[in-house]
Amino acid sequence: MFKTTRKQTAVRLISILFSLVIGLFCFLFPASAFASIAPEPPIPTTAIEWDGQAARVPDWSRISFRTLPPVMSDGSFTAPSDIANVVGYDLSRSWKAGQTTDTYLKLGDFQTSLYPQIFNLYTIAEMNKFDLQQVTLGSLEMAKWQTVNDLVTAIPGLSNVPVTQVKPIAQLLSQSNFRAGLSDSIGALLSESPELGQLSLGELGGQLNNFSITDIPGLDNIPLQNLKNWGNSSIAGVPGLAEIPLDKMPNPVGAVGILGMVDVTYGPAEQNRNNTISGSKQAGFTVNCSKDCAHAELTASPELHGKQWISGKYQEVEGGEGFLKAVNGGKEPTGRHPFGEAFKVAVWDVDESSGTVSTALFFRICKRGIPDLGCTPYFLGPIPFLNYSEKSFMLVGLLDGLGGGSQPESIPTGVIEQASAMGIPAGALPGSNSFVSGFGLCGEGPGGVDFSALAAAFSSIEGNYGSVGSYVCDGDGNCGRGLGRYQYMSYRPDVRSALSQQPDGVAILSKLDSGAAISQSELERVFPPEAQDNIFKGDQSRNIQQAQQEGFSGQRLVERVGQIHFGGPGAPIDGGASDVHGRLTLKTYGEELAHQYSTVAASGAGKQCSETASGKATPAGETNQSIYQSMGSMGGFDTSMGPDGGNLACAWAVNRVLTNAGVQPLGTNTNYVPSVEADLQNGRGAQISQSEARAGDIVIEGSQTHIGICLNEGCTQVRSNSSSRARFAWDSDFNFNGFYGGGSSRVYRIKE
Amino acid sequence: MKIRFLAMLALTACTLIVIGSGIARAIFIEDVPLTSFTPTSILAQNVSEEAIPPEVEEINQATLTHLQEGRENLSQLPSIRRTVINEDYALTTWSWGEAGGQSVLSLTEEGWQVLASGGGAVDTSVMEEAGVPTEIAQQLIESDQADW
Repeated sequence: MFKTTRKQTAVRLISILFSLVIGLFCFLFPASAFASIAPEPPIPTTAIEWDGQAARVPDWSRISFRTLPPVMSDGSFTAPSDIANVVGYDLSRSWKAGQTTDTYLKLGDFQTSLYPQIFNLYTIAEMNKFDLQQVTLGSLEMAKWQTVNDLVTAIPGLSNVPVTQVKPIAQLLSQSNFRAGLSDSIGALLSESPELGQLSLGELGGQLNNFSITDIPGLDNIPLQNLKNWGNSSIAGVPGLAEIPLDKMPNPVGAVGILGMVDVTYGPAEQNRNNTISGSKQAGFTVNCSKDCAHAELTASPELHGKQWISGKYQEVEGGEGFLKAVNGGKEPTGRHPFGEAFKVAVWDVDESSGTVSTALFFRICKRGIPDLGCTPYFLGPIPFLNYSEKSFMLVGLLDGLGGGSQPESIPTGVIEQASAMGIPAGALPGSNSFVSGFGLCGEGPGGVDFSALAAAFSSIEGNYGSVGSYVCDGDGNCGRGLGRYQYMSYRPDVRSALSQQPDGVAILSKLDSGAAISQSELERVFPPEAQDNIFKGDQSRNIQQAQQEGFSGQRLVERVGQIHFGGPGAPIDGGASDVHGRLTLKTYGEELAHQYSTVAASGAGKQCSETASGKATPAGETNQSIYQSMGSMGGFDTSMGPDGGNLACAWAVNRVLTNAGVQPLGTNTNYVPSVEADLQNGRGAQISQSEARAGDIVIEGSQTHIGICLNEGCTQVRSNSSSRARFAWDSDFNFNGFYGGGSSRVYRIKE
Repeated sequence: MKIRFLAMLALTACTLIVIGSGIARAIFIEDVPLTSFTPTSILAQNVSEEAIPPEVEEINQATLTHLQEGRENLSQLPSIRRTVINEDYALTTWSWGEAGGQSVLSLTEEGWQVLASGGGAVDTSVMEEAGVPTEIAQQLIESDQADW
């Protein structure tokens, strides 16, 4: 009996000790032993068959910004105050764990990925099947920072409407103790009292909720990007936008590419994994991992066999572009872009014991357009996403070297088509090629078309810089006048934007909208020749490209360009339709243009690079022109083949432009700025002042850190390599936006 | 009896495992190393996770000091991407806003001094002109370009 008791006690002690050891093990090695994966959030998926087996991918037709799972962590971003001054609004924001994405992500963050700005409120309401009359004006976040002038600029025809029919504006005026002339049109009122144009709807405060969206006629029919500082609005700040499925965005989120089977999951104890398919756009998508290499090892297709998708929870990589690149230390979790550039997918928690990985989404903050500040790294997250167990399939996207997204640098064709349907010229979209300035009308466009001769040919049909056309309406109810040398209609958003930036521009827009005539001097004041030519070059470059894609060349190319100019991008080839004047059809307009173009080109007038109406000639020589044209034809070319994958490619890129222009490269070391400048100082070039500088001159930063090429007269714009994007696509000012201390750059002209 | 003890042993072990894993999980959740990705936490941490040798630190600092010398109101600051050393010479690769460049340094009695610096990529001729022996220049270039 005694023996048995001692034995029992010993066994008990051993069992307690054993339990304590296990408990201690659990305590000391929590992650490796018992890391568990949080349950997958409710994300709609769709079943597909892959490699003869069942797989699932997100069903983007049932996922919207509102229904994405809430963010897991708090965070904030404080933008420098001087940035707010430049941009026009504050990019700062903060978010709390549990917030849904629509509440802290803004339209501007997606302006070159999903393009939500080309939606109008009517389309959004139709997609959500709600009545805009029931939606308060206060629920449109950007309404509160629109002034009367902003609304008149954004909404063609609004200035014709009597104040009393625009209740919010009537209330605003009434609140400002302005009672006279409320039965007049808004345009008439602004002509008499221009200061009223500065009144902001925000001054109505809570009263905005007393009005509906439709109380401002036309507000529902303009693209969101017509409104001032639209990029600052949260997604939730546009009624209905947060509920739009992400596959219905102008540039939809899709699921394209290959699926990999999760073969084995490995925890963070793993080290030195060098066969990865994860990384970032900046660091590439094969970033090695030296320690804490939790990952999912994939298999299925031969190209994926053994590939490691490293967990972004443990590995960060370089991210971001442009000025905003510095945010978050320039780092983002490693991952891929199987669904495009709007967000990044990272493998997150990895549980070896259950053979499961979770994934998470990360977003970023962007400011594109003018000024282009680039994008932060993808650091807004993590948003919990799908979980995968071993032997299940996960989408890795295309194996394209771009992380699966294959997002083109230029604007997607579908977006251009939708924008065109909304009356938005492609040039008014962020991300469009802004290569429209320089030698006035000098230079060749795509297909070797001489811009100056083309402009002269259009001018022979349309008029001169001061020409004001008849008041006409198109089939969509847009009314206005053709303006200037190329007769651009006053309801075009880019024309309206150009006019509104000039003193009295809004008042003159109001007159134009009302059908009233304006004088030649008024037009030339608010729509100067430089502005007309800039729109012309951008516009015709796209028209020429469209005609080339349609298979045209030579004289027929010019004919077709004329038809597109006359009838829009959808104009039928050699169509018989005419405008209200009935003088020319699409076909005869094109023929007339081609005839005039041939005549001007044969006379050599085009090659003389005619002076702009401002009277300023461009005396720089043939070499400058060749360099400038070379830049135009090369566009924002990829420099990742240059030194260090494009990071050290500033001099290399400039020399590529020169070589393409038929100019011998500069420098005994053509990749090094000091060497390039030494060549310029030793006979290849002549130093000139900034005021003498012309497009095609070479600009070198004061301490030889960077080099670029002038884009215009006076060299206020310089194009150079962007290390962060590995593209010859950074347009800055003469001193590279003061990035290097604001010291004065030097400018050289290459000797012919 | 034996079965009773074994059952008790298993029960106790399981209880402690559950308690232990509960504590472990709580700690696991709180002790998220790089995971929260709040801007402040990331900004606070050093970009490099590995300790930088003092010599490299000195070379990097000499490069950054040289780059920023006499410049004020910088809206962007340079950062060092790579450093390679061979005997008393070093080659640093830096990023600065949208620019990138390289600096050549040598070790003197006053410490590391910049011999040549500029945007873009140096080559052996630039290094030789700066006084770097040819063989060392070639080795530095080779070491550096191995990371391109």
